[in-house]
Amino acid sequence: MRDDSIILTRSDIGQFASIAFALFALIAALSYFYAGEVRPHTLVLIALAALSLIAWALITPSEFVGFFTGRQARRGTVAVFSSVLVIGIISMAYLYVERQVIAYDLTETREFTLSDSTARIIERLPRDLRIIGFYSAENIAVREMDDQFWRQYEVLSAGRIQRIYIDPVEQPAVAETYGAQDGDIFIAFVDDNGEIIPQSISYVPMIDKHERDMSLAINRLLQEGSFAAFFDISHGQRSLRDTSSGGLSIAGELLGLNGWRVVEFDLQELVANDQPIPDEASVVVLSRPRQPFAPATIDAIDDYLRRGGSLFIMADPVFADSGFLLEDSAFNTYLWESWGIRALDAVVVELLPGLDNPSPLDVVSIQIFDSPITANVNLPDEPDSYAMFRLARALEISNTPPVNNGRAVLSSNMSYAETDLVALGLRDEYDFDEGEDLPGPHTLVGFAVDAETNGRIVLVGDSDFATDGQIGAPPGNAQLFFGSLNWLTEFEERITFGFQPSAIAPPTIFISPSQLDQVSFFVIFLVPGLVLLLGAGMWFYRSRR
Amino acid sequence: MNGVGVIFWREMRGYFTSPYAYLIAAAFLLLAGFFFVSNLWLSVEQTPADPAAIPEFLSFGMIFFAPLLTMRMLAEETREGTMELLLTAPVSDSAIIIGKFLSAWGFYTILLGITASYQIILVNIGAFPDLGKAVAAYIGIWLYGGACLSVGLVYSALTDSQIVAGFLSMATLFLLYLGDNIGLIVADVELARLLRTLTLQGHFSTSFAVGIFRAEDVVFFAGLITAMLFIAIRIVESRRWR
Repeated sequence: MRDDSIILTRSDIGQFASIAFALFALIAALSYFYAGEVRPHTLVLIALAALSLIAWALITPSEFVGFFTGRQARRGTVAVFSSVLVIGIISMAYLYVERQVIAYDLTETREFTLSDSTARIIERLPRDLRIIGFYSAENIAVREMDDQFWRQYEVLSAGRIQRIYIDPVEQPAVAETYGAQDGDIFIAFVDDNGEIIPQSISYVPMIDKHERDMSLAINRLLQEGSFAAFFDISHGQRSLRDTSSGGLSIAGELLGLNGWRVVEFDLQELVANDQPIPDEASVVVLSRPRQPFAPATIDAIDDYLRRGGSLFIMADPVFADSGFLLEDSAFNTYLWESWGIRALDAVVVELLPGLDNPSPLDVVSIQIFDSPITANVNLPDEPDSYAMFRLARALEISNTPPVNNGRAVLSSNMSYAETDLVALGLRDEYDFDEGEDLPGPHTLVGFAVDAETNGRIVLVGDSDFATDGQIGAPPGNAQLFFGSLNWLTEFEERITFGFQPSAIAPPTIFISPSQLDQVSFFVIFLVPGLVLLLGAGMWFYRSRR
Repeated sequence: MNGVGVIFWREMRGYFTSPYAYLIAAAFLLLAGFFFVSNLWLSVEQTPADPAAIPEFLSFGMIFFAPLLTMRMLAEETREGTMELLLTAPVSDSAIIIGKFLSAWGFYTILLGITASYQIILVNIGAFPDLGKAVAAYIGIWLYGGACLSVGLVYSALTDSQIVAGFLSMATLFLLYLGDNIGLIVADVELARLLRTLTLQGHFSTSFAVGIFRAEDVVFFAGLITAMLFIAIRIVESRRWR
């Protein structure tokens, strides 16, 4: 019978102490060479090595002395030093290769490769840039993951972009200055002395698409203020300063955070003074005007659009005889004749069952067409990414337009457009009347673009979706608002870069339960079972011999 | 280096004629299969299947499998007295160690190859595995496994008790596995980074496992294997003059 009991002799313990000494001494040396200075942990390692050495000498003094003096000493010393030499050579090779940054992205979607678009962004850097990451020791794996990307920026920019890391636990005051938490990333320009320019410090929101998030942030920093959204306030529109649920203060704040310049202006005054809408307006926003537009105002808008301007119209239903964009109004006629889109005097009623809308008058983005306007609406993996409109006007899109036009968001096939706005406005009554009301689906968001001038229009049959009370509820409302502005100003094309394959939602797999059962049977039972059978067969064969 | 092939085939024959190796292989494949299927279940109607699921599991599983494969290799030879025969045979100490290591790595490669074939299943059932990521993850875990086996071999050379060799290997590999959690026990971020660089996970979880092939990681694993084998050779060699 075999004896498997563990017996530790004095000699074994002494041997372990000698190994511990060698290991601690080696790690201390490597730590010193790696950091280039003696740090507290290096001292701790040296102390541990010394303790191990003392333990070795005390526990097995004769072996200790023999190691350094006898035949064992010579051979032992050669063995230890040759081992240390091999480890040293390997360490040097490692450090050399590490600094060469030789890496290959083997993923099919090139998830870890910076795109040409990022290279173009980096080319436009007016001065050097720092990526400042705040990571504590607890977050070390996240830091290493992120570093895969940041060091590529450093390489691609030939050192113009550099990365620095700050431990928010060790340097809380610095973290406080940035308003940073563990894991936060910032970017900032540096001056000629290599000092960070405080005014340029910019937070990088990370949404798990490292390159896209970082390149977007750098581009925002480059484009800071060069995109301007002009909000007209001269026709009773919603205001950016209004912080009530009907105001646009959150939309304005979010635009500012994304690098936009936001301006309120008086269109009527401009027109009265015979001045054009300024070229610096990347987009003119009309959020629920209450008054009809005068012919001179329409001419000013037409002139602006012919100069390649962009117009974002958010038009609520009108329950009175006079108001903005009535079906037969001059401005609506202009939109139809020049752009092939218009608003109808009808309110969409959504009758599709099973929706999360409080009332049939709360219309949801049931159908969307693939466009930059709806790029982040109705995302398959995000159930809250739909947009919702409270009392939405039906729109009409011409099938024979003078310019390119299209539909971005539609109601369901079961919806209809209620044309009796008196009954709806006064008594909250609505019912489908054959021959009077308009069967769905109805366009809720339409767009048009003049290919010659690049003038663009987005028309939404509702303005509530962008207000403080609703822009975040549901979140798809904000996405629609920003998607519209992005498309109108080509913000995405100019500020950002095309979508990388990795930014596209990965395909979802659909496997039937029976397929899964078959796979389970194969890999959990069949394969290990066959190996066991082979083992049993081998045992049987050997035992028979 | 005469005799590497002799030792290699002798050990490989040992694996394939020992029910003990089949038991280890069956356990290995059972656990790998279990993780493969559970990942597939979680992916259904959510995301594409993760082709690195098995390599990621093995990065932990090797803490236990590597010592099981290596703890007998030299410790048993010493205990049963066959080590003396080996040392007097016309093969060098290097050949003994390298041959034994290659056989363990070879056996591990066969098991890994069987699990790699599961990617074919993923392709056939339309689970959209990222095959590039799979290649990176498998190359990574193959090197990772080699490094684990080389550590186990050192302890097997160091003691004549399989249990001590196995226990010390597991303890060491567990410490080397803790790279991503090193920040939980070390507050200084630079020290944590340095220690993570010395761990196996530090060269797998944020590179090979996500589809990146980095030269520094290859150098780390190859360097660790070389260093461990060199030390194991020196330990065996020391029997001649101790």
